[in-house]
Amino acid sequence: MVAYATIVPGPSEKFFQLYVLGPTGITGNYYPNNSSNLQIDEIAQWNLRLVNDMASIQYVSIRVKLGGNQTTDSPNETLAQPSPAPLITEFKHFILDNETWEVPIDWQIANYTTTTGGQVSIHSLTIDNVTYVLDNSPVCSGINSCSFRLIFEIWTWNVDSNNFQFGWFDGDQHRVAWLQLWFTLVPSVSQPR
Amino acid sequence: MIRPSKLLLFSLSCITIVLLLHSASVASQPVSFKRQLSKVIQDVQTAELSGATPAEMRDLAARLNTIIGLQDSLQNLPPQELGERAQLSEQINNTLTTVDMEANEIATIASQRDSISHLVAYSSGVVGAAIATVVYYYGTLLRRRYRIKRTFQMKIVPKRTKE
Repeated sequence: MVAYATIVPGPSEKFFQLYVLGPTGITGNYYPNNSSNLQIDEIAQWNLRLVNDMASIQYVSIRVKLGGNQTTDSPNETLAQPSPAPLITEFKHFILDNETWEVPIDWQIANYTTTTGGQVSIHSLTIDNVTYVLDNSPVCSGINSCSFRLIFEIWTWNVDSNNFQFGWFDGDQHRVAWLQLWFTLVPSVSQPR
Repeated sequence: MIRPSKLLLFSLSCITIVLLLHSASVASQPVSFKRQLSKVIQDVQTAELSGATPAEMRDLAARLNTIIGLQDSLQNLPPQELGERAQLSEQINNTLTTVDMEANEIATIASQRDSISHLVAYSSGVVGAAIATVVYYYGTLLRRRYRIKRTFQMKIVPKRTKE
């Protein structure tokens, strides 16, 4: 009995841990000058970390999306639906069991646009020296109250559907994990390009 | 005698067919790639469940991660770079095939290794239980003998009363 108990591990919960650290590896200093008010070309340095506690190797994707201040932009945890916000980029990796995957991200707002009605939207973002032009970017009513957020979602490869799925399955349970960091776009001295 | 115009037309047709076949194979790559990738992932997970060592799993994961890099390079290539696209596709397929073969080999070896370790564990469990039984039996026997011996060594002493 003792030998059996030693050999056969008991059932355990399967999950991922996703978190973001600042440039110094602590939970803080996420923004330059310790302020989430960002101007064009101000670089924020983050360290995304994903821990695999799924008891097996997993093919994962961290999808980065730009959300506005609408509540509908958040992923729906109850229905396990991803955020409808526009996808900026994704980071894919095969991650071993109990492994922590680190993704350093240096990003900045490359450009924003202002309509004649005063609505502001982020036109492009630069992540790790690659500039992404955004379609259907969220808009805010005015430059003085322009809150946006970067949303990070965990997607895992489903071998049955041969595609990535939002979250993962622990038995019959569909679980999701995501996080977001808010920032405020503030007008720079120079006009938007 | 073959006319030069016919020869030219024939050559152009051949080139067109070759290019079409080539582009079709490149375009159909994602679906087959996804299926093959799923199969490889399942085989790697089977190897892990069979008891592959952390070093073996690290090696497989590292090879799989190179495929992601190759896939990204393939997606970033312009469609007209047919030669390079085909080369990358072939490299991806070769890597997937190699990883799959290695995963299957590791699974076989690991399951044998695992069976042996299970056998050793269960055998040691049986041996341990047998030793424990023998120790308990002789321990109880010795204790009983000791108590009997003590009983026969007892002396009956009259109780002294205070006068």
